[in-house]
Amino acid sequence: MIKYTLKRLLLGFITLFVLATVTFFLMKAIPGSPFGAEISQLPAATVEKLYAKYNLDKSIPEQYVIYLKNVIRGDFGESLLRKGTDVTTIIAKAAPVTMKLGAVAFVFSMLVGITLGIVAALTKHRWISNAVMVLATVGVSVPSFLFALMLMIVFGVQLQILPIIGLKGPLNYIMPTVALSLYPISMVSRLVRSSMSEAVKQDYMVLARSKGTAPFWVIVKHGLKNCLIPVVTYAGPLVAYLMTGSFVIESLFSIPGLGGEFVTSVTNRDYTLIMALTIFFGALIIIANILTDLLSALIDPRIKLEKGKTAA
Amino acid sequence: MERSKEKGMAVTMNPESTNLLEVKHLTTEFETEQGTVKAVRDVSFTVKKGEILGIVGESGSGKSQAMYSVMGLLARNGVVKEGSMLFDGHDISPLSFEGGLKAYDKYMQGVRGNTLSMIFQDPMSFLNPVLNIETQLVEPMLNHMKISRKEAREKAIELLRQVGIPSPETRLRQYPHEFSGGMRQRIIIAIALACNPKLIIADEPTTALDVTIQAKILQLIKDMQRKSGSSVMLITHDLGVVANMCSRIVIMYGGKIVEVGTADEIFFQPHHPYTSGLLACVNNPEEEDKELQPIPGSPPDLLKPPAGCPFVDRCSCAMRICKDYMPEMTELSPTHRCACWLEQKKEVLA
Repeated sequence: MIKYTLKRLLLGFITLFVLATVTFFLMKAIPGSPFGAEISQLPAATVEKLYAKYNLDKSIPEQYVIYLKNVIRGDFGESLLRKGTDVTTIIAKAAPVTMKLGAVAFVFSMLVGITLGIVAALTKHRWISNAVMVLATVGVSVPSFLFALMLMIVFGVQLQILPIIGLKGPLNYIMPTVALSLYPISMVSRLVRSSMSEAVKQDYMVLARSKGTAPFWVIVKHGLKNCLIPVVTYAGPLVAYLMTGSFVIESLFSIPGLGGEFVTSVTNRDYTLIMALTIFFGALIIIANILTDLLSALIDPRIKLEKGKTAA
Repeated sequence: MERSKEKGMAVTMNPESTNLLEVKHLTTEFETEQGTVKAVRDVSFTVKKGEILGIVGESGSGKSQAMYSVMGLLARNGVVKEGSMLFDGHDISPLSFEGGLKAYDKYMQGVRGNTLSMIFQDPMSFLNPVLNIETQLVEPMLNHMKISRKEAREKAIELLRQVGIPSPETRLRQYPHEFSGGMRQRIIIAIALACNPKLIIADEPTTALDVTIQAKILQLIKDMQRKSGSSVMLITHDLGVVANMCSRIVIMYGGKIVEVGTADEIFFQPHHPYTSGLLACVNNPEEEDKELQPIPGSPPDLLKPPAGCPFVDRCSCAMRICKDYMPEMTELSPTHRCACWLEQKKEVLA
């Protein structure tokens, strides 16, 4: 297991390198420059100096080599727009905000999604099951900005019970969390419903009942673990998605998070910030995927991490 | 310690001993999209203390569903419509249980896996693939016995050893997919034996196994029964399986019991044409030249069960009355009963 994890991490580094390379050249292929239109009004010598400072006067392959060298030394450079601020400082400032919200949204969507899925699968009343499925369909199809705006109008503007801006207190988390969670809740409840309604039909559930185990524990202990594989497979990318932040939700609720930074960095051609964020997001996704695979193997012993080797 | 005491005590069978399980007029139905399936129709039988009772019938004869009714483990769409069930002196019928269905569920939770346990048909699908053997084996003990997890683990190791699984300490931590079919069936047997049950219902315990393993598993069930003195109900579609195991045999067909008798009576003086038909299908090594005779036709559709004898369409001795009227049970001897008009006719003539 440790060997497998190390192998995956090494592969992850190679993936990151490829990702950084592709992003670097694509980024340079975008027309425009970080200095905007006003640069034409400056004297030619100043412009030259400016370009030289950021190595932008060199050829693109040369710039790429310099960038890689710096990155290996741990220097991701400073932002082209916010003078004197390292991009790592920018990320370190925005990441906790996004991750806190992302973590809350993740836990919320798992708890609600799994509960709704189980209820929909087990209820004797068909209308409850149908209601959950309608909700899930709506949740998948309604865009998050629309849902967030509706929440803001109802709870923020009309009822005035929830704050609309920022993440100051616990109350501030409610609306962005719900808005972020709607889609994952729909996905998870669907997955759990279908796998749970399969699981309850399985023979091992009858054997569990034949031991005199209470119905609740039969579902939780014997059913749920068997339903979790599809959920975990979905949850891995979800973690990455939530941790990188949603530009839409962050802008709507004025949250100074990573999603906003990423989008503005691209529009501003803030080359160093684009690169650093891309590598950061890439690393998050790679780690989430490794965790997903490890977790799947932990849940279902029949899953083998490596080919040819038996899980022992 | 208790176990070792039981080991030394071979419980002798006493035909006069009291009944452990009494089932009377059990009727179980299933609601399906096609209509109501009358799976078990007016079935009555008893299990005596310390005996092995065989229940034989082909697939769909209602034998398994009768057992699930007793266990209270019917699928969601199944319901006990009629009948009384008395286990160990206590009413276990969901219809007449004192305190209603909720109290019944609660009571049965305390009984299942404790005094009444079940061995299932397919060892491949009845063990939970994502839980290790220890978790699955200590579960009934933790449910019913006042013991710690550690003590339960010790007992689990002892149980695995008893059912013939080598190096149980390491095997305990493994998962079902790391065991062969025969080994898994031994684990299922160990689970059923965990709380020293008074009655074990074995639902086709060898059907899904290789022929070579079948005999070993049957021997194991027989040994365990002898050691503990508990009663066993052995459900099978194979008369050959019950031949060496059971003291008494119940033959079921089309959701009904057609013949009951001691093993000798069933094998040497079968009275119901269906029982004779079943015997003609059993391979007897002493009569090698004998050709096996399959019973022509197929079992009745229990969505529309026949008004008369369920076997009428396949019976070589069918008479006109058989189609419209179900024969009563005729007592042939104190232990031998048969539901067939042929027997009734003999009685009238005599």
